[in-house]
Amino acid sequence: MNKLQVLGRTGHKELVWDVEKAKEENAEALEVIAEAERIVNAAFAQGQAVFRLEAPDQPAVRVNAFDRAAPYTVIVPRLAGG
Amino acid sequence: MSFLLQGVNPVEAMPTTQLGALAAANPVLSFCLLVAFFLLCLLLIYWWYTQFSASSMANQRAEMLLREQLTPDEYQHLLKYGYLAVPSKLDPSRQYRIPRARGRVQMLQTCMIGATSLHRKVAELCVVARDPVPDADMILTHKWMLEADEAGYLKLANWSRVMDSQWYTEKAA
Repeated sequence: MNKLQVLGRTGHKELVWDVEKAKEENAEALEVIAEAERIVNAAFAQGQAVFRLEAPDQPAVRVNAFDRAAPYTVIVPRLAGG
Repeated sequence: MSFLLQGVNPVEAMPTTQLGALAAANPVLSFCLLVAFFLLCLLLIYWWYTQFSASSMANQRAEMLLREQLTPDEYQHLLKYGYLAVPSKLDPSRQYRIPRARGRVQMLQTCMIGATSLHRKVAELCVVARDPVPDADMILTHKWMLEADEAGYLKLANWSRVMDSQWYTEKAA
C-alpha cells in the first residue's frame, strides 16, 4: 500500500492507495491517486517541502513531482527561521 | 457587633447596589441574564474541552507517526537521551541533535581520538513551522529536511553560534 501523509496542526492526515490496483485501472484507486496528486501539487504551489520515504532506516528524499509508486509521500508544514 | 448591639438587622444595613436594585425590579430579566451567563460558562467549558481533546489526539497521532517513521533504535535513543541524532552529509564530523520537545537543533562537531568520542557544540539552529504542528511531527520534519536538503535547512535556519565551547566526552549511546 502507498501512502500520502500530510503533517498539520491536528496531526497528520493520510490517503492510502494500492498502486497495483491502479495498474488494473481500478476506479477507486485511481480516484484516490488523483486526489493525492492534487494535494501534493497544491503543497508545491504553497512552497511546502515534499519527501519520498522508503523505510525508516532509509534517508528521506526531497521530491519535486508526485510519484504514485512511492511507498510514503510526506508533506511537511512550511518552515521559517525562528 | 455594634449594629447588633444597637438592634439593627445586618441584612438591612447592607447598601443596595445598582445591580441588586435592577434584579429586584426585573426578576425575569435577571433570571434570563443568569441563565445566559450559565450557558456561556458551559459553552466555554465545552470549547476548552474540544480544543484540549483535539490537541491531545493530534499529539497521539503524531507520536504514532514518529514511532512508525523512526527505527526502533532511534526511537529508544530519543526516549532515553531526549534528542535524535542526525549525521551530516555535508560534513562527516558534524552531527545534529533534534530535541524531543520543541527547541533549537544543536549542531555538534565530533571527533574520535582512539576509542574516545569527543563532542563540541558549534551552533544552535532555530527552524519553526509557520503553521504549528505537534512536537513529534516537528522532530520528523527536522530529520527529513536535514537528510534530504541539509543545505536548504542551514540556509533557512536562524543561527546562534556558540563561541569557545569546550570539547567533552560522552558515553556511547
